Amino acid sequence: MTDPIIQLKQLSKQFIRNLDFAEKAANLLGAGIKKQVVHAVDDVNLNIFKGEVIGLVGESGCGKSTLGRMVAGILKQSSGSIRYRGKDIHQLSTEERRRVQLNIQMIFQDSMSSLNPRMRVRNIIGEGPLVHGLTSQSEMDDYLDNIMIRVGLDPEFKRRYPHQFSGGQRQRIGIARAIAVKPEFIVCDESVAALDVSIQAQVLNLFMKLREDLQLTYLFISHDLGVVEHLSDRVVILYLGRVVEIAPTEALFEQPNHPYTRVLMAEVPRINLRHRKYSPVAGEIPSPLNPPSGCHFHPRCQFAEPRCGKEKPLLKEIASERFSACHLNE
Amino acid sequence: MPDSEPTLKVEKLHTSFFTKAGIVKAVNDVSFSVKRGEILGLVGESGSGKSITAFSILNLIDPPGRITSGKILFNGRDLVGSSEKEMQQLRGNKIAMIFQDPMMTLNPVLRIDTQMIETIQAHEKVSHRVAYERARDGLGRVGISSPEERLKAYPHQFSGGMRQRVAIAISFLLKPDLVLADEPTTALDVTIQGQILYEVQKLCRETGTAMVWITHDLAVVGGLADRVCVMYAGRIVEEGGVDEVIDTPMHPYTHGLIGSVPSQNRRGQVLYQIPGMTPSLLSLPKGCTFRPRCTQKTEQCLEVPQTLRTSSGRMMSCYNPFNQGL
Repeated sequence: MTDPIIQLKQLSKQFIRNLDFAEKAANLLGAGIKKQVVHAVDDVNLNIFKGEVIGLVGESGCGKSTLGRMVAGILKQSSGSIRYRGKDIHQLSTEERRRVQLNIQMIFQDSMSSLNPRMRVRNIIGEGPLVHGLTSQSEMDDYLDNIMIRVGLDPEFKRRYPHQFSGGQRQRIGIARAIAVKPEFIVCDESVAALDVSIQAQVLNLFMKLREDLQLTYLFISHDLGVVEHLSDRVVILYLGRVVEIAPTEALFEQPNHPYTRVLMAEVPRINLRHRKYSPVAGEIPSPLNPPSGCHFHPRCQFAEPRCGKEKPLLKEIASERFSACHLNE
Repeated sequence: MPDSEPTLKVEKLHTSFFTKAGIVKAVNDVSFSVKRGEILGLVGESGSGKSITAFSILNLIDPPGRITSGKILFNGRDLVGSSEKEMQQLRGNKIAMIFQDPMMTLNPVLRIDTQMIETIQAHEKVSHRVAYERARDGLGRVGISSPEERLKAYPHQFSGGMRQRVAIAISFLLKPDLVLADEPTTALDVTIQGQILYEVQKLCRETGTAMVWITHDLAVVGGLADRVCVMYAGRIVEEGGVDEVIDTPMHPYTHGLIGSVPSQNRRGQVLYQIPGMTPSLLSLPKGCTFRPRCTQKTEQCLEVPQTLRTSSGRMMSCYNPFNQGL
């Protein structure tokens, strides 16, 4: 196999809330209040290869957006490294890093809040390529027309503002902005979650077309397993900041290994399943401020053994290209 | 009341908004009915008028909007033209509503127990003690553990899924005959959604409550509902049993909608795209409102299609439907 385009090595992110004045004062008197630490992403290892689509799935608060933002370079990791074509991004010189990170772009969920309402579409899409010297002021119009046609927007709309577009069109503007700087890798964070079914279908089709036309690689973050199944080659399941399972999409949906994956799969609404008897899943996702010991999933797991509450399970290869972090596989 | 009589029967309902830009016909000639213990899925995209239909039933349409004609028969009684006082007695009592965002419907500065007990005492003369016990049991029924403690909490101390469960518990407190649920699980994770669908299904079966479940998610409707109505631009274009409508859609819009849902056996294939865009309700196309986007259109479609009922209890309004043999 070829070298991965993106390599995450023991990537972690902690958010720390420092003590306020009152708590510090209380500590002087011996209250022993500790800083609150959230392990949003905990020791994630992942290789992403050229041209593949990785689906990143998990419930709200599991750290999937934080992981995506670190890969896109918006957040800095607490520890571990992100390598782009073998080079550690945070070891590079500023100039080099700028060039490398141009190859990694991001598309957000809420197109209304990720597009500047006071900028015209022309500037939203064109600013990036202009700053990075991919086009010049005089060639800008042709450059923009090209990109707008590619994402299915009428180039006549260049002078409009974001609020003059519908939700689906705004999402296309976000996509156009991302591909305008000719990236290799795109992080899509819940990019179709807020859209109506018929618009969602259009945007998903666009993602697939762009992937083929521009040989893009995606990290596709979503809580919608139906969408992930449709688009991805491999799926990564995240639970409370840790990867619990990685597998090729088809194998995962046919035979989920980790108990959490199985619960998720059982809950996916399917258009082909009618008059279902829904069953209650034990409990909710615990607070990441105070995650359960051992395997994070053990309080909700119906197969939990005493060991699961003590030892953290490691991500192990269970079949070719399939990894799962569960003690039950041993 | 005989069992066969529907809990809710909406007949030829028209709700319009009289704006400066023109008349917006948000609900246009809508008819449907729900029986005891039945779950009706009302499916449509944003702006199709599904929420306005629910608001019309509760008489919650504010000016410049109003119900211009039609009947809303609730247990045989017409709600259109009822006084505000009569409606207040029904709302939250016999007809309850669950909204998409529970953070907007729960009062952020009141504890959960205050809000639940208030609801009960607004409609029934019971002691605080009795009301408290009913509130506690209500929370327990929607799967909230240690309800006594949770009653003392404020809405912000709950997670999104828990808040929605509190909202559902409140809506079922007074054993309503009808619950209108407006996209209640759209903002939730699949596991939480599964739990809530489980609770709702159980409550409807146990108490015989009729339910209208408004959503844009066909997959949820497939799993939950008994019957489904598909709305487009203010009109119901197709209605029928959930299996029939999803397996053999007749109206081209329903057909397109189902084709655009990613499903198991078509991984990686191009999804069906309905051409064009949802029309503005201010300037609807002449005749069939779906005509400009339709693949089946003919000259005939310039006239508004009549509603056709088939022998199998299905309804649709189209001149050139799919699966015509049925």
